[in-house]
Amino acid sequence: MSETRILTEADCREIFERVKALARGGGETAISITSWWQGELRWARNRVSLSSDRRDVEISVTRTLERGGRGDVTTNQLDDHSLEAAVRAAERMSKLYHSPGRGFGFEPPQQKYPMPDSAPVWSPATVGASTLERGEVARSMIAPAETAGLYSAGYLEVRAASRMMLNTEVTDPQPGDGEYTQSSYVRWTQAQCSTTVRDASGTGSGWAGLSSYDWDRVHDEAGALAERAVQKCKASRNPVALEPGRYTVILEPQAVADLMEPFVRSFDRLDAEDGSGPWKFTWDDAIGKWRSKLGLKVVDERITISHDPMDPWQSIIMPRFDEPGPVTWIERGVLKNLRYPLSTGLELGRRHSLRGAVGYRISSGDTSMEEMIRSTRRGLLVTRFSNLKLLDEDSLLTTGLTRDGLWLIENGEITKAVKNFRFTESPLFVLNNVEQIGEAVPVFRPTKEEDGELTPAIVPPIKARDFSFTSLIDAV
Amino acid sequence: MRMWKYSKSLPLALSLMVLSAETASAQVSFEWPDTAVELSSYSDLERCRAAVDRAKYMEKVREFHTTGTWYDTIPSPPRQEMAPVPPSVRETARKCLVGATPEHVEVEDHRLLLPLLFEAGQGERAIELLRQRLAAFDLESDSAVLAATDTVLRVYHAVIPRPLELIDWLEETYASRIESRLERALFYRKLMGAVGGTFSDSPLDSARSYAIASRAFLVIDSLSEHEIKELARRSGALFLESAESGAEVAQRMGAFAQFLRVDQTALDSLREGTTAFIRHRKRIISRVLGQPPETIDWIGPIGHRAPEIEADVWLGCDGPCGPRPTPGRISLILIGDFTNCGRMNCLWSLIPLRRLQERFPELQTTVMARTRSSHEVLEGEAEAVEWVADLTRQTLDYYNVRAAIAASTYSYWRLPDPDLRPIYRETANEVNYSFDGRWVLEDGWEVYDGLYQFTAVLTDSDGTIIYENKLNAMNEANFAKLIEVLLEREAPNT
Repeated sequence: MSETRILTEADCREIFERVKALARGGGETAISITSWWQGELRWARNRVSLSSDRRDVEISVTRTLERGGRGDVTTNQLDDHSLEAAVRAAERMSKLYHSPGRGFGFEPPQQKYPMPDSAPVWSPATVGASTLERGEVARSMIAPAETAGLYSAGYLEVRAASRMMLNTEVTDPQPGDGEYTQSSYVRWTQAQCSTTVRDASGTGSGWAGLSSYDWDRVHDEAGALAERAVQKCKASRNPVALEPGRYTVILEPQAVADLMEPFVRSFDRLDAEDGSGPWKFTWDDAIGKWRSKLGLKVVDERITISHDPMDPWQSIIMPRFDEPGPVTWIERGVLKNLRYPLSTGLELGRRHSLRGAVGYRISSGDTSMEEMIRSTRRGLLVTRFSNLKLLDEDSLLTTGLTRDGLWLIENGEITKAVKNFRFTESPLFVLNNVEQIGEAVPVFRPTKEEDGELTPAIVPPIKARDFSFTSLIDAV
Repeated sequence: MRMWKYSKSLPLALSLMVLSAETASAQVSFEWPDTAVELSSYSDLERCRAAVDRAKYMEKVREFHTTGTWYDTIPSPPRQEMAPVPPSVRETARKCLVGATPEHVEVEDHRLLLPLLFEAGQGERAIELLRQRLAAFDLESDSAVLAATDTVLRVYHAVIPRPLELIDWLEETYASRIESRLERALFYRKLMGAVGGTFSDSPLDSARSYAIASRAFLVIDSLSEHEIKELARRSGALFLESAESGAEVAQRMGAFAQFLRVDQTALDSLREGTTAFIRHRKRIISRVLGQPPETIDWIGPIGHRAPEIEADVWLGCDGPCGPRPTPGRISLILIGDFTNCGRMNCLWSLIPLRRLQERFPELQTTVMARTRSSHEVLEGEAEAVEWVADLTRQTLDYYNVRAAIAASTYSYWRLPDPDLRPIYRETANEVNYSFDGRWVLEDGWEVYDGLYQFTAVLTDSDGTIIYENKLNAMNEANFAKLIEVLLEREAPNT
């Protein structure tokens, strides 16, 4: 079954041959094909509430007739009749516009960067995961909660997607021709699982989750995830209220990843050079431009943030014109790179775009969680954050809630569960108040789009001082 | 999306669903114009608006297929805003409104409904609805009256032909209610803007225009100096700030309108000679600014000698390329980056240029091109400037424009690592044409209102700059009138 869940390269080429044969009136033909499949299973109150398999394809047909414009039509029907209707419609659209013809536009041929063959993005186990297998995993995750008299809810998902763009051969190519309409076949998989365990009285809640391109990893971890959520639920019952204020915090890896969302999304060179966002530095009168913080120390020197498509935990889909190798965004606290589009890359003489920290790894430290707790006189242990909202784009001041387990640490020991807080804090400030860093591990950070790209994060636990909690909240 | 009230009943909603399904299947063999759609089944005003706009667009496409000319590449026909509604558009609006009970449409949707009623030939119904709607508001303060005026004018400006009766109604109903003279002057300014004003070449309705203007100037004439300053500030006409009386305001506004359009007096002065023309332009500017003519020393590059164009690569010269502008030739210099014409269509400048060349074959045309926005992608490649020149030539060929192409390399230095941004140095042409920093040639390369429209500079046969502006269908007539006079002057029998 797994072979038919998404389109193969041969399928894409066969569709293109049919589309080409349907074209009338000369000119050029291009198609862009994406396909995806998704299997999911959801449970609540220890019972499965949803199990589904979905799939779709999207074929965008582009026809450019002689002296016509580009006519684009999208369909998800693969039969000859539908494809012909799409081709005819694209041809009618092409006739509605006129263009000076091919060759206009002035991008010289660009270097295209194919995905490295061994990039960890495709897992046969993921695309082959059956409904029965998913159900068994769910059962194994519900069982520990049910045994303990707790309620388990959760979601697990496996998906696969593919993409390919093809066009007819461009005769007498001019600068810019054809470069944007061809890309080799790429396919990827993703698996994710998360669970929340609550006690019947509604005073305790625990959570655990993991995402990866490889279902086997998620599958193998499922029991441990369930057990962790149960333990957190039990340990977080009957929390006490603490005064809001500044506390030393030990952020578990998931909490670090949640807090880093606005941070890693802000790596934007054009924003900085337009004078906005956290990475703008100062207006330079001499050149009449904004200077960015590139090259400046911006966070604690123990922090390095990077991505590497060959990292076995990273699984990143590289766009055609993106820098294919590893990229370091922050190296030992110094801002090294910010994302930019292809046009900026060309201006910089680099001939590629830089997509940003879609997936990322924060460097490890050598402090264990136990040691972090042992060395804390008074502080809070945070499982994760939710409902984050960016308040200020320049300082990255963010507000959000603690969730699914918050504990007070006193004199090196966890002493009691604490009611949840609203925090108002900037990840920039946190990364400048780092006390200790632990070992980086993969966390839960799945993409949200059905044919979306992979967005893995590998982050360490971090102990930081003066984290600002601004109000108590009643939600458990 | 807000639904019609009458479409909210379940049976009708079900029937609409059935109709929608039929429509969807009919679109497999979709042909423009879309005659398969049953417009009277449309259940909301947004879809009606879209259908009427489609009908309007199809009129333009039909015209394009008939004449081969896209509508906004030709000068606007006189009184275009009074053009009748094409029958297909009127029919679409009428069908779409079948069964509509406008009285039940929610107030927020009147912005969509009222123009549709006018387009469907039901203007009286629209005006009555406007009356009812505004009667429901308490218009005690001047600002409330001006807000009501804006509401009505928004409808007015959304409709072609303009419903001039709305202007009459506005004046009759509201002018006398405005207590503040300043607010009343601003009220009349809005009305003058709507009907074209007395200074326009083609007011929509001359009688109305003069009647409104005469009443407007009576109000303006009564303003204090402080009120005049406020009028200048609020209407964005800062050159009026130093006017000392209402009469002077009127005079300055007239002079400004005269400066913008090349009128008969300007052409007569040019016939007399370039010096007389420059003197005439300075005199008008002096009237706009309220300063003595002898103090006006800069009216743009007009009156300056056009520097000789420099280039790393010349293409398309009919004979020797330099010097340009060539002494003894009336010359048009077009400043622009044509290498992006594939994506950002350049027809808005190049089609008017082609028409000028067809009408005045003697006109010498030079395109000043540069590698910026292109060169950086070819860093280190020596052929960049040749590519720019060649792509510019291809673009001009496509539009059948004949011109010499002067392409210059835009050099740059880079900020140190890790910034690495290129900092561009001005080309020799940019330095020479800045006239000691008073004119920014960079503007010539800018995108104007989302369209690529390039700055053109017209010189007489001595190389003195006579006129500069964006070359587009709107300004084409000014270029043409001036070129015609310059050629007349050069003709041997004059």
